[in-house]
Amino acid sequence: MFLATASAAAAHGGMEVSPGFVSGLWHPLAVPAHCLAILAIAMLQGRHGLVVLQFRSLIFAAALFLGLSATLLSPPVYSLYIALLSLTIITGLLVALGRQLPLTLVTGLSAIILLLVGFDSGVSTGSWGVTIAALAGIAIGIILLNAAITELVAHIHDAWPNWTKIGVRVVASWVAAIAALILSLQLFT
Amino acid sequence: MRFSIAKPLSPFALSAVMFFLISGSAVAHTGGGEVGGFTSGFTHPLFGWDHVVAMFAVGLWGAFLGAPAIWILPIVFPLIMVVGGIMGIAGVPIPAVETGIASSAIVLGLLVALSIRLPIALAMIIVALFAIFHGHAHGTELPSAASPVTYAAGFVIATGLLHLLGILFGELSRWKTGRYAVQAGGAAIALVGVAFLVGWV
Repeated sequence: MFLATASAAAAHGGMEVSPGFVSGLWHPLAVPAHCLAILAIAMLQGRHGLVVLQFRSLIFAAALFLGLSATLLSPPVYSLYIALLSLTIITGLLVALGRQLPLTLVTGLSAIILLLVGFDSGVSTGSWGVTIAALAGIAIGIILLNAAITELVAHIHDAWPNWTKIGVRVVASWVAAIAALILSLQLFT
Repeated sequence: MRFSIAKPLSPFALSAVMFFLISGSAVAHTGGGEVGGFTSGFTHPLFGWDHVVAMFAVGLWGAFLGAPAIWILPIVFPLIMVVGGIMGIAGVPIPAVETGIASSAIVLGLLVALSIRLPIALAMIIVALFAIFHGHAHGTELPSAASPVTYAAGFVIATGLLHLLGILFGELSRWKTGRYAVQAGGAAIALVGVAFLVGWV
């Protein structure tokens, strides 16, 4: 709800959000490739229920922290962005096909994708303080988005009618399709 | 298929739903191109009646065939449509794309109108074949869009929602009178396909 309120406030102002913590919070939704990647892994995690969000959240947070920290040392690497899109396609396909992966594999795949999302989320503001605030916002935004979608999907699998589970698979096929188009745009244009 | 009364969402999951409902304002901050790209991508399949009726027919036929086709066909279509889209982006030519799109409406419409029940594997192959034509048509226009990425998201989502509309209408086939309505819908789709094929529209 905090994120919703922040958006409404910014929208009423009719101004661009200046770089910093709040714009960092929005980052995962503003970058389609990142949004798709988080959506894909969260749907994969949600199929295992909320157990994924217990101690494994620490692994995800560590991977994301590592990726975001690396942005302070190196500019984004194009081949890693391509790898991120490729893994998003694979993850989306796994969900769309209804494949139930071992929890260890889900954890590993999620950690790699979060590492890549983090590394692709570099911020250049000219001020260390603003950069750190923006990166903190990005980290919290990604973790919240991942946790919220995972809980939603886990809830759907646990308590909602069967057709909603099919709905998740259909959405996953859209995620894989959109990611494949973004990848092809990167490679062919 | 099991139907049950859903438990209410927890506050956290409810927040997630809210998060997505208002996410448009977040996208707005990235500039008009992103929103314009999504809107033009979303409306692209909706403004071409040949696309609309064919997408609708996929959902309709899936509902007509019942499980598992009702959900397999709407999953197969976007995934294979992307293959056609990539060919379009890469400039790989496909002969007679418009003919293929019009034919998809004719064939899928007739399959519904004539109540033809094919094995799921064959149904997937037919839908996948036509998806390549539709994807190629979208993909060719993709690189010139204001924001190709959001354009891609828009047309994939619009395609999926058209399938959903087809499924909802196709669910009428559970009742005898509704079945006739669905078959009539299939016939109408086939006629629209013929109109496009011979150049009446």
